[in-house]
Amino acid sequence: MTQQLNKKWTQGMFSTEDWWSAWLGLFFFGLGLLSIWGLDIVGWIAKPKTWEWTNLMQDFSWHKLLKTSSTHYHSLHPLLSLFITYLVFAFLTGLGAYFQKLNVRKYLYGFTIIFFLTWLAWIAGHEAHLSAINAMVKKHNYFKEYNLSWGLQLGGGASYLLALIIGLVIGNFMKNFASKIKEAAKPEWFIKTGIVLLGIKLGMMTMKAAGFTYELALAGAAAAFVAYLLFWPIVYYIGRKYFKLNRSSAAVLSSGISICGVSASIATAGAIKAKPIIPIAVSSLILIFAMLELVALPPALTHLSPNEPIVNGAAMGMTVKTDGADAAAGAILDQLMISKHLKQTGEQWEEGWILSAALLTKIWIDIFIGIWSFVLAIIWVRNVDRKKDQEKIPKSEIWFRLPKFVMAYMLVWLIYLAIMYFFPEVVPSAKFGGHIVQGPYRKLMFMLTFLSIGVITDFSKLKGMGRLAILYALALFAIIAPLAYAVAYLFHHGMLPPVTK
Amino acid sequence: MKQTKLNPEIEELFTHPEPWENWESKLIIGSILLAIVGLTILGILINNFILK
Amino acid sequence: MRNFELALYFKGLKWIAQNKEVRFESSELKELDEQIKKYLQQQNIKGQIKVSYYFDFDNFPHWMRQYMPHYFNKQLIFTL
Repeated sequence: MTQQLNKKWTQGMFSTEDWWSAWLGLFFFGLGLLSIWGLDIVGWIAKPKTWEWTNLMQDFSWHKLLKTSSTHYHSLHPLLSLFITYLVFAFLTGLGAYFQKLNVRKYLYGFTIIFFLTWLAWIAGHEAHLSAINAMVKKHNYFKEYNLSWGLQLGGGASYLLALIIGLVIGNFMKNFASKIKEAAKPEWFIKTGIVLLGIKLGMMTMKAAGFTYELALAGAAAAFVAYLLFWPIVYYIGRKYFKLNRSSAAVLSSGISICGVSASIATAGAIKAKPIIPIAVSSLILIFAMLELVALPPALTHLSPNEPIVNGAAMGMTVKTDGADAAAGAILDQLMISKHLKQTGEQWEEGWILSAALLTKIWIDIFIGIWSFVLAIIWVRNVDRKKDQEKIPKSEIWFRLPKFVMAYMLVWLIYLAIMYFFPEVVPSAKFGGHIVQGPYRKLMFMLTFLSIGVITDFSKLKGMGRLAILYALALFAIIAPLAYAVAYLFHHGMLPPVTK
Repeated sequence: MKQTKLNPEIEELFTHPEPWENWESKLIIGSILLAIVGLTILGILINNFILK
Repeated sequence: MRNFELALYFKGLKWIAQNKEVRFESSELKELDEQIKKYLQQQNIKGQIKVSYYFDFDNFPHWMRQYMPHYFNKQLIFTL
C-alpha cells in the first residue's frame, strides 16, 4: 500500500496537485521571462479568433478560427500550433500526473478528450453572434465588421459558459463517459496553475496602476478577515442549535459553507481530528453548491449591481466556495460586466481587475485557512479532548495546510514588481513574454477548469443529503451571500477598474 | 474509502449533538466581536485612506 | 525522549494506527492513545515518550486531494 505521510516540510513537493500547480505555473512564467533576453519560447501556443459562421462557410480556413500567439511563429499553420499546444500540455501535465501517482494512461486518455472538447468550446464560443460586442475592442468592432443583425455580446464569457455546459452534460447525462475521463478532470489543479499565471497579470497591472493594485489587495485582506470571523460562528451556531448537529460536523460544515469549501472543510476536520467520512460527505455538497453559485451569481450580480464591478468581484470571492469555482465565476463576471458596461457606455474597463478582486479575497481566505485551523485545533484539544497527557499540535500543520500555489502566485507578482522597480528598462521586453503567458496560457488553464468542473459535478448527489443540504442552502443564500456583499461594499465601494485606452 | 450517499450509518456521525458548553459561547461571541471590531477599524481606515 | 511513530488512517468507521511492528484499531482516537500506552507499558518502556501519528493522506479519495493535501499529524507526550 502506498502512503502519503506528511513528515517533513518537503513532503508532497513532487506528489501533490498544489505543488504541481506551483511548478507548472513557475515553469511557464520562467519561459515567458526569457523575452527579456530577446527569446520568444512561448509564442507558438494557439489561440482562437473571432469568426462568423456564414463567412466561414463561404470560404473555410483554419486561419479564420485559430492563430499563434506571437508574430514570430506566424508561419506555423494554426492546426500545427494547436497540435504542438496539445503535445506540450499533455507532456507537462502527464509528468505531473505520473508524480502524483495517477493512472497515467487513463490520465492521458482523459486529458486528450478534455483538451479537444475544451478547444471546441473555446473556438465555438468565439463565434461572433455569441462573443462580439458592438464597440471597439482591441482595435476591432467585430459586430460591425461582420454586419451582425443580432448577438449575445458575451465577450470571452461565451467560451467559458460553453465549456461549462459541455462539462455538465457529460457529468450528469453521460456518466459512463465521465467516469472514463475523470482521471484528467482536475479543476483545482488547472485553476491553481492558471492563478499562478495570473500573478503575471497582477504584476503587469501593478506596473500600470500600482496604487490601485495595492489598495485592492489591502481591501481584499480586510474583507476576508472580517468575513471569516463573522460567517463561521453564525453558521456554527445555526448548525448546533437549530439543526442539532454535533460539534465536529457543525465545525466542518461551517468551514465548508462560510470559508472556502472543500479545502476548509478538510483542514477543519483535520484540525479537530474528525472522522474523515465527515469532510468527504460534506465535500460533495460543497461542490454542487459551488456549481450553482458559479452559474447563478455572475449574471445576478451583473444585473443587480452593474456599477460596482470590484464590489461584485470581492463579494464573489467571499461567497463562491472552492478556488476553481471562484476563479471560474470571477472570469465570467469579468467578461459579463465589461461587456455590459461597454454596450451601455462605450467605455471599456480593463480585463482582469474584476477577476483579481474575486481572486484576491479568495487567496487571503486560503492563507487564513491554515491559521484558523490551527486556532481550532488548540481550542479542540483544550476544551473537547481535555487530555491529561500533553498533546502537541506541531506548527508544521500550518505549513502543510498553506496553499503552495498562492506562494507561487505571490512570487511571480513580486518578481514583476522587482523588475518594475529595479530594472525598468527591461519592462517592455519582460511584458512581451508575460503578456503571452498570462493570456492564452492562463486562459487555456481556465478553459480546462470550466470543462473539468462540469464533468465532476453530479447533481444527483444531492439526493439523500437531507438536512445538511437545507442548512447549506439556507446559510449560503440567506446569510453568507448578503453579508458578503455588505462587507465587500464597505471595503470596495466606488472602486472601478482602469479604462482601456 | 468510497464516497457514499448519506446513509443511516453516516447520518449517525452528524447527529447526537453534545450539550452546548460555555467555551462554544465564548468562541462564537469572541469571533463575532473581533469581526465587529475589525469591521469598524478596518472600515474606517479603508474608507478614509483608500476609498476617498 | 523516545519517539514512537505510527501511520494513521481510517477504514470503515475505525481509526487504525500502525507501523512495521504493531497495529492498533479503535472507533475513537482517545482509545487508540490508551491502547498504545498499554502496549508500550507491556514492552517495559519507561521514561518520557513522544508518540507521533502521521495521517496517511493516500487514504482520502483521490478526487479530494487537489483541494487539500494534508489531514493532520498529532503528537502525544507522556511519561511511563
